[in-house]
Amino acid sequence: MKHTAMIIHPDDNVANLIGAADKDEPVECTVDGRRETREVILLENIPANHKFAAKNLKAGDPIIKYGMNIGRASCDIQQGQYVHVHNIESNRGRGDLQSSP
Amino acid sequence: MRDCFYGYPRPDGQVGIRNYVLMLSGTLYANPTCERVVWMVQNTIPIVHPLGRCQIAPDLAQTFKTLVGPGRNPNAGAVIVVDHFKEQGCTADDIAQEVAQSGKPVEVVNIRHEGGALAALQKSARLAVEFNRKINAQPREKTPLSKLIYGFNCGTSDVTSGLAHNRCVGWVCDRIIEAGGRALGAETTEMIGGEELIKARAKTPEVARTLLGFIERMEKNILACGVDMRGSQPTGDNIAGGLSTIEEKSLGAMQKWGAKTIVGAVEYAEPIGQEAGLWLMDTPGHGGESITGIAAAGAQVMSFSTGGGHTINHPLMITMRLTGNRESWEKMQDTMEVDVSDMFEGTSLEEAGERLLDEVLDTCDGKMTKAEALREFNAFAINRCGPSV
Repeated sequence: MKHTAMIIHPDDNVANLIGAADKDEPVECTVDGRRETREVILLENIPANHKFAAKNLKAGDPIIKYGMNIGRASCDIQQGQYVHVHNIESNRGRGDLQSSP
Repeated sequence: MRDCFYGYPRPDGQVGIRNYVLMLSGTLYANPTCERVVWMVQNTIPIVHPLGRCQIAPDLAQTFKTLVGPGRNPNAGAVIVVDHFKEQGCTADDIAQEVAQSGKPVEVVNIRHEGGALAALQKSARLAVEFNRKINAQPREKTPLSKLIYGFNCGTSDVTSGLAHNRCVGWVCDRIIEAGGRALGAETTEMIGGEELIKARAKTPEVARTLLGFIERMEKNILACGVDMRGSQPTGDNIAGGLSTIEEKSLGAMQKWGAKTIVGAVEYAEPIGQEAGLWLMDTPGHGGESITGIAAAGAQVMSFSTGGGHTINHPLMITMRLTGNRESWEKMQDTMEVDVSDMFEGTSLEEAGERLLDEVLDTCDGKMTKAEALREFNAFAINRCGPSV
């Protein structure tokens, strides 16, 4: 069975995997609920329903999901890499940054 | 779509979806009396809690309104307030007096005046039996959805939350509002990161300012504790479920808001206005405290959407739980009512939304939730705004 993922908004740079998938496996991404698909090859194993990069990202780049900012890349991230707390961080509710709604 | 439910009209114009006798404990020391009555007498519901003593004035005032709220909630047909302490502004008599303004029958049982816990138990149980015989003669009546306050909340979120079950809740909110009803959400923690969406959706700049003020206050309160919110939000469960930041959690949570205008914003446990539309309350992300605030505002029914599965339910505001995570549905089926995990296999939002709406309206008409069938009462939790002294 082919793996699938959801890119919720056309501007999003991360995708949500449906189920789990392993390194080197291709994933077919639906964009904004449409069957207009984009294929991404996973560079790492991804746990069930977690995120991976749908584009190449530089450290400091905003992470976009639902068409909105959910944080920033804390290091460079390649398309197909696992995206989670180890390589992205929140911009909010922290003592070391000015909160900027 | 059905445009009505069958409920119990109250003298103040609200309409209940249940006709319970409420055993309302004034302080933690009256809890056993209330709990014993609930196990003895059919159709009684407990409101018990650890507060009511040695609280600073604003904190005690918040406890007071959070106890009066369920007393006034139309799902209670009659109320028995039990206590014997004399906390200023929050005695059993103060609570009963405020609840009685709703026009429903209310009695106070003072443990000391009755001659102790056993005498108070006897009196409370006898009153509960009498109230049951009195209020249960009332039939259900056809009621327009304009009388419904649909509460919604979420917990143990994972990535399925923003993709499946929260969207179903949003869809149901929209349908209820279109039928003239009100939907009431909360959880200020999960508005952090959603400021642009709030500004775009608020009916007036004042509503937007109030909500942004809630967020600012929440962030300041966290930082004033000398800690960083990371480490507590997102929670460990959220992170295991694939949510990386509070912003991601918030935007997923806000899928529950549907697409209608935010018509008003209220403080914790305050009643909402009469206008149809989406209402929001300032509460923490803590599930029990949050739904307790919503129930105090008069919501009769609640959809609680969860990724990891949950046992949560409010004793009086009838709580039905849904998930889009099939594994959670299978593991937590004793306390979940609706499964929408087939949304990941092609079921449309409309189809899954209809399923949830049917369950909500059936529940309003009297269909028992699993929590009701199991007589589980676990999520009455009063939010505090001060220390014990």
